[in-house]
Amino acid sequence: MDKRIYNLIGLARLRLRLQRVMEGVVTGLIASCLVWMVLLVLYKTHWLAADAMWSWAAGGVVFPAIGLVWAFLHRIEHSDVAMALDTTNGLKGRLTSAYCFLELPPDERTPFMEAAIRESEGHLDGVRVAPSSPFAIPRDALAFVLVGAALGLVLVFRPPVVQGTLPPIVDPVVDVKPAFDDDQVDIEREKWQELREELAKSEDAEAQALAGEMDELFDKLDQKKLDKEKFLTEVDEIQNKFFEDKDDGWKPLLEELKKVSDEVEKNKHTEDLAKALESGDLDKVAEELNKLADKIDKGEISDRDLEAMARKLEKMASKFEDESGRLDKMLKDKEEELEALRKKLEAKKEGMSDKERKRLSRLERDLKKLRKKSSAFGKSGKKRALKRLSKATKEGSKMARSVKKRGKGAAKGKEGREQAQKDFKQNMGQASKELKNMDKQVKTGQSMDKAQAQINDMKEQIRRQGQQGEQQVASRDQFNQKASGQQPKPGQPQGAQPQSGQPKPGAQSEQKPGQANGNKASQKPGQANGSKSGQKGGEKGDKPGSSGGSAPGDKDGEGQDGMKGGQADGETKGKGIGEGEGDRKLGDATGLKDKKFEDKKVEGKMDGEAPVKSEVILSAASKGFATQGYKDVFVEYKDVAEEVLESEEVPPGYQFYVRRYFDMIRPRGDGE
Amino acid sequence: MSKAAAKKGGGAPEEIVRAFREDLGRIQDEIGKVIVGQEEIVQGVITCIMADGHVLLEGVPGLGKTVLVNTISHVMDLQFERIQFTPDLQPSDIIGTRMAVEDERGSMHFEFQKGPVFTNLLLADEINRATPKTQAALLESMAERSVTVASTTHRLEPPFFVMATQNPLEQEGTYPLPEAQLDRFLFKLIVRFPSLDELDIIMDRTTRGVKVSADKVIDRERLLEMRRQVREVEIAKPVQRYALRLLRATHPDMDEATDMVRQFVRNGGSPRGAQAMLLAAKVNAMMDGRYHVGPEDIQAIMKASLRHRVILNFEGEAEGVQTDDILSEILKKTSVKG
Repeated sequence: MDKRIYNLIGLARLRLRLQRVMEGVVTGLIASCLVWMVLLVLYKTHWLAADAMWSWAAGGVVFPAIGLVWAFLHRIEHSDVAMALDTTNGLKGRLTSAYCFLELPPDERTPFMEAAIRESEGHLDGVRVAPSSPFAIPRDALAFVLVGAALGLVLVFRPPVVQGTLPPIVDPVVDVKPAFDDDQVDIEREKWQELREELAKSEDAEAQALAGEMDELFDKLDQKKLDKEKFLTEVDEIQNKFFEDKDDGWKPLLEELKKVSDEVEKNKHTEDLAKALESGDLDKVAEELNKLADKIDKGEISDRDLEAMARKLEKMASKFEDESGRLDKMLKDKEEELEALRKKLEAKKEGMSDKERKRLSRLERDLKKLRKKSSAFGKSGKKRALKRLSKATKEGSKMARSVKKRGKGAAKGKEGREQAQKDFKQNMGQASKELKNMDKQVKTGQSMDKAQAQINDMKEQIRRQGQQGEQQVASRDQFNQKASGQQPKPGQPQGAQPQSGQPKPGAQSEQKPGQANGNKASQKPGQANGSKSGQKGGEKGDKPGSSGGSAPGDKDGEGQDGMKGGQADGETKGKGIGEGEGDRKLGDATGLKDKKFEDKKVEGKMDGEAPVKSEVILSAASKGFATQGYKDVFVEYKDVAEEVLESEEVPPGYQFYVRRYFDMIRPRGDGE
Repeated sequence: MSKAAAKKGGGAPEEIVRAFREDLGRIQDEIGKVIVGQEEIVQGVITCIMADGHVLLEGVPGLGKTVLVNTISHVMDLQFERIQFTPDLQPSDIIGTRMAVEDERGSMHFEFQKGPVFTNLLLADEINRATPKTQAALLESMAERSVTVASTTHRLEPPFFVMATQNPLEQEGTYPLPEAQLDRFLFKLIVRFPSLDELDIIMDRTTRGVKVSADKVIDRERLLEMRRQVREVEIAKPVQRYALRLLRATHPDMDEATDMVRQFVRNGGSPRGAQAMLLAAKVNAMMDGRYHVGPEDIQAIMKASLRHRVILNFEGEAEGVQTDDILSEILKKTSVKG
């Protein structure tokens, strides 16, 4: 009997659960339909791509699943089911009571409970489960139908589509602030083109690779793809790749050759050889040695000269040998020192002190560098070339001595001379070949050095740009434009017009008295007024460290080169390049108060028509009164400037501006 | 309830219920010989007697209330008293008083003279005409089944059953029963006016000189036994909770309250109302021959049990809302399932 009651209740529960599952699924389907409808609308109005729509639509299936699971897991009380059975079958709570009493332990049931259970038995046969848990149309069915219909309508309905094309997808514009402006890039590229031609002649693969990378770098600069940071990063990479372990062995070699030239230049027969050695042109050295051999062979050299020349050549040979063995000796010395130190330190019981450990470490580092250098020196062929040179000069000396001995033993002397001449020529041929190879390497090394210098220059420019204010940058740009013969663009700030051109009216209007730039130096009482001398004063004042256009006029005695006596009228010339006083303070004040001068303020004009310096020089050359072409003048001046920069203690920052200046005014194209 | 308690009632449940039904059936039959119609009232009164409760009848005079109580006392072989409540009725008129009495030797002493409350069935006719003081005198006897006079408590002999009546028409010069006193009544029954056929029969019986009398069916002991048996009827938890939900639904501030309750009810039924429902439902179940209480039993006695316990608010009074309508709505809207 118990089982029958439970079965009845269980069956009714199952039916109720199924009904609820149906309800849950229908409710979930309504939610899905709503979601699908939204997706469809979005898709039809082009807010959503087809792929995305299908993906989301697939996700919509989740809702019925959730409804199903929720309905299935929803708790249905047995007593409620029993009550429903009682109600629908008119059992007056018999099943409910019987079920509740049955749930109690048997010993807790009262006789009335047992009687109630027994009494309910008689009513079980007529119990119908279906009315208590009927399968009915889900209550949300109507809503589902309506939503489904709406979905169908949306599916069929085609909204008017605006047939306008979508805006093209453009790559996001990255606001790259170029590392250099166009003018700077042009200047650097021109410099690089000259250098590139030199590198192109080289057969060295590394040089070719460097040329390629530099070309790429300049292309990026042209396209304004590099900002300062990226530029520095790329440049660092190039430097690390090509210049870090660069073989600079040719430098000591050329230095050594110059020293040798001192030894041989005092002899008239070896003068040319000395010049060739001094110039570092190894190709020419080989040629001169051949010529010397021919002279000896033809008897054009006296015995005395021969003797002297032999001595010179011997000395030269020993020099070459010295240079060749110098590195080996240094290496050997270092190794010995290191070994000695290590033994000494190992012998100590307490171990090494910090100082000793550092010393050992330093020695090991030096040794490593030396080995590397030695290895590079050997591999590069320079060592071999030096040996050849040494041998050739020895043979030359030998030949000279053999010619000198001709009178003593003709046969023997002749044989010896012929043999010496033969050996000399043979060695000279080999040496010449080696020297030519070495010459190429030297030239390549020089070109790479220039490239490195240019890269360093560019980095320095970047560094200085970072230090300059906007006004100063604008000022520099104007300077560049003027230097390259362009007019300043309208609207550009002109107050900071540098001193490249002649002072122009209006240029001074923005400057306070006493704060003049290079041009303004010429406007003070007793100073040159906007004349050439005034320009020079400015130029010189700018040269040594007057960064950002600070002018000689700021300092006493500056920029006064053309104004001696306080009567400068603008026609007085300055001292000339390299003779200025820089920004050093010179002498006392001019004491103009006692003179009958009156202050006169001359307004400069920044947008005047005056030519830039390069134009002046070029036009002068074209008019015919110049005796030298601009190119020659430029080279001459630049050499002088370089010489001064190297000989004097000029701060690197100042050197930079001097070099930049010459870069600006350098001759272009075929300009004479 | 323990098995021992069940056995105390004597016999198997089936036997107990069968005997109960037979006796009750005969009682109803005998009463039916005298009282024409009014089956619901008769059943309600019998239910109250079996549930050890009191009943408040509301109806116009002359509907046979006194006859009914008189008949029941006769059928059940119980003592019967009737008190007509008037405004000048004193408590001592109900419960009795101490009187100076001369004994055989001629000396005087006080002796307690029992009032009409010392009976088995008491008819408090038109109870709302007495003053509250007098009504309160009945209160103790109804609740405590005892009377205290001059610091002496006198217990009333069981069974003690009060059937009070009140006239709904004449409100002038009446003292409506306070809520506390109303709560003492198990049922409040509305005595309807007899139908034409019933009136016809009543006229025939009362105007022709035909003497109709009812026979005794059970005695006092049997009645007390039946009362005990009623309490052994079981009630399942879901059914009991259904009764309790109905009770809570009469309170406007409860979750189960219906709209009407929230709008028109000032106060709902007390826990004593739930007790009344369950006891009466048990009697109802036994009358139906069952050993358990079903939802139908609760529904059958719900209105009679709660209608005098639900107090309407001003709006309800003003609108003339009937308490039975409110209870009907509660029955309709409260689900049998939990």
